[in-house]
Amino acid sequence: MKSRFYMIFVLTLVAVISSGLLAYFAVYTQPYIEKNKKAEIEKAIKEVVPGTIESKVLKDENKFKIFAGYDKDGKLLGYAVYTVGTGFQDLITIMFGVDKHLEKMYRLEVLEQKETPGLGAKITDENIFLKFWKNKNIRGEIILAKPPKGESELKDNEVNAISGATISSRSVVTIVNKALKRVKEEVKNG
Amino acid sequence: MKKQYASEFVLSSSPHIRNKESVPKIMYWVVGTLMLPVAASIYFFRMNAIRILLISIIFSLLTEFVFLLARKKDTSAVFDGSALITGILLALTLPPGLKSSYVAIGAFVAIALGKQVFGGLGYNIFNPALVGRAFLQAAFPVAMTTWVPPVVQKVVDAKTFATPLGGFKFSHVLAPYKDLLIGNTGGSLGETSAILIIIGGLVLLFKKYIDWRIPVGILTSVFVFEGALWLANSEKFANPLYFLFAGGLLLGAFFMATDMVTSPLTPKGSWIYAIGIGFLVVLIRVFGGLPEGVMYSILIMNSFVPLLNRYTRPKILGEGGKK
Amino acid sequence: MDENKSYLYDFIKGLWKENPVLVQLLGMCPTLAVTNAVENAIAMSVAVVFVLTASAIIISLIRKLIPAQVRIASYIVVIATFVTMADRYLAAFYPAQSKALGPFIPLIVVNCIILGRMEAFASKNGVFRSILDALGMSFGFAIALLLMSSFREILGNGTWLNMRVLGSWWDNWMVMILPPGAFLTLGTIVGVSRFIQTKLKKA
Repeated sequence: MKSRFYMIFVLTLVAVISSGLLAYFAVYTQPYIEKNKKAEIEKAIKEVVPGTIESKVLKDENKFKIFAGYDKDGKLLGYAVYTVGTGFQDLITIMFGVDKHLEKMYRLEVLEQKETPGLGAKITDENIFLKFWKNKNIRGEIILAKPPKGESELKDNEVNAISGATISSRSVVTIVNKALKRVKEEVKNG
Repeated sequence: MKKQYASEFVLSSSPHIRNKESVPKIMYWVVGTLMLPVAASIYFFRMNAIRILLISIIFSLLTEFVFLLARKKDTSAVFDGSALITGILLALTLPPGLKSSYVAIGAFVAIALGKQVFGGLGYNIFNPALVGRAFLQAAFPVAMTTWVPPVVQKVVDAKTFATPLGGFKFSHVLAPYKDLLIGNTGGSLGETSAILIIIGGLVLLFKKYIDWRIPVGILTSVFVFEGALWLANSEKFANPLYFLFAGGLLLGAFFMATDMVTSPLTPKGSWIYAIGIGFLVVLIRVFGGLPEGVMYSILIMNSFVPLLNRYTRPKILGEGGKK
Repeated sequence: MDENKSYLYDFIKGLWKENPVLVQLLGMCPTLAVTNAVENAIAMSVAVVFVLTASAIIISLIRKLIPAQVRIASYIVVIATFVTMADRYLAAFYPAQSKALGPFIPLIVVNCIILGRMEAFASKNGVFRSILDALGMSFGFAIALLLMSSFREILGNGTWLNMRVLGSWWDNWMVMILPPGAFLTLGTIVGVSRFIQTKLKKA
């Protein structure tokens, strides 16, 4: 009987000490971790909505977020949209910025992806893929040009596919179009 | 556990001699029939075909020789024909514009990782040529999916040339059947001429060097599975005949899936193996991310061969009972 | 065999003769997952050195207090404490590495190397010897990870620790930084090390 009590006592003691230690450590690191997370998202917002000094969260879901970007006078510049969707291999996380009238896309950034290196992973490449997304007309949907066209021949709502990685390119277009539809609804409803 | 009485009298470890003929003799018959698609590839792709074939064969033989030497085995086995077949088959699965250094790497991997690390001929689980190709596909995905048109075809934009299957999958463009049969299409060296591959395959079938169940099972199951899809929606899915003649299906069905070492020993096992390959081919071609899936289908079913051999072993008299 | 008693042997056995990855084949999951870049392998190794050594000290100190029936539970609690600390520390001060290593830092808890050394060594030996053993084992782990990640990063990306080592003539072998490359590399490295060890034994 005594040994059973001793057993419970030791295990409890180990657990209590460890939880105390962890509680202290969690409190100690918490502010840094929060700061890192916030800095990461803020950096992305500033990139996709140029001129942003301050941002405000409008919508905060697990896979869909909208941030409003303001300049130094507090004037609304546009919205940064954070969205997650399926790519060729795994989820793709995208952040893109649109103007406040929801007519023009400023820029698109791919935050996280696990596409095939050398093929689909090129969706993070500025010169092969991302540059086509600048200043696109988003009154309608974004359309994937296939086969790819010369840069001057692209219409204002068309982007080029990456040759050899059509599926990844198409995934990005689908994810963006879906997010655009939602942003328009959300903004209309306030 | 059932007792495995006398199983060694029923099963022999591969390569098993089916026709009282020696291994090299069968091997050279296979090489001989392979000359048909080889000739077609040289006709359609000229110097590129010759270059890739030579490098692939030389490096396959060289790797085989080095490994036999290192493992202190009889080095005359280099010329038993198996490494030669691997070299030719690997070359036939490669795109004609591939860099020479990639071909050499593929040949090395095919023999070293596909065959010798398992203990050499007879012990490998996977078809060595396909191991080499799978490695190249994963290592150099861009180069392995860049196709050049046949020399005889006049195409303006040589850079964005699609294979018959890729063209269908991504742009819904069908290649003419006449071109598919003769081989006047883009694709790997050996996946071009349907007619010559069929002739070569029929010769091997007639000589009983390959198990007829495997090509028949693969082609029929592809035809049936794709046919069912096509009947359901002929707009969206390709004609099953197109699937038979386009891509590497014929080459795979006659020359790769039938590899003596990596295919099942029993008739029942062969049927399951063949239908499995056919099913996977349709699955990958129709629903997968890649236009072509013969290589992966054969490799996947290769891995089931030991299991198939085990479970389809003929019942020995007095064993088993009711079922 | 006198060498079994020496302190030096406690340390060096983990480096080669009883290398946890190459010989004992323990901790395969992080070995395969994080060796796609040297940078990640180093971060992982540092975390393992910390967790293994810290746990070894604590377990060795309290080894006589812990009843045999609850020893595994106690080890896991101690190990998990240090792993969580390492995880939080990385997330707070090295966010890039923390993101790249993903769930593999928390998974150190179930890394067999750690629990294995606690059960096999720290619970039976004094603090000093336990530290030597833990350091030897974790350095052995680090050596294996460094070997693998160097091999993979150089072939797969032409770089070593993000520095260009192969010229622009080099075409990256994509497969090496993908999961299949991890298995190919592990197989090759374990094979070669076995080959050398048998040769050495004969000599």
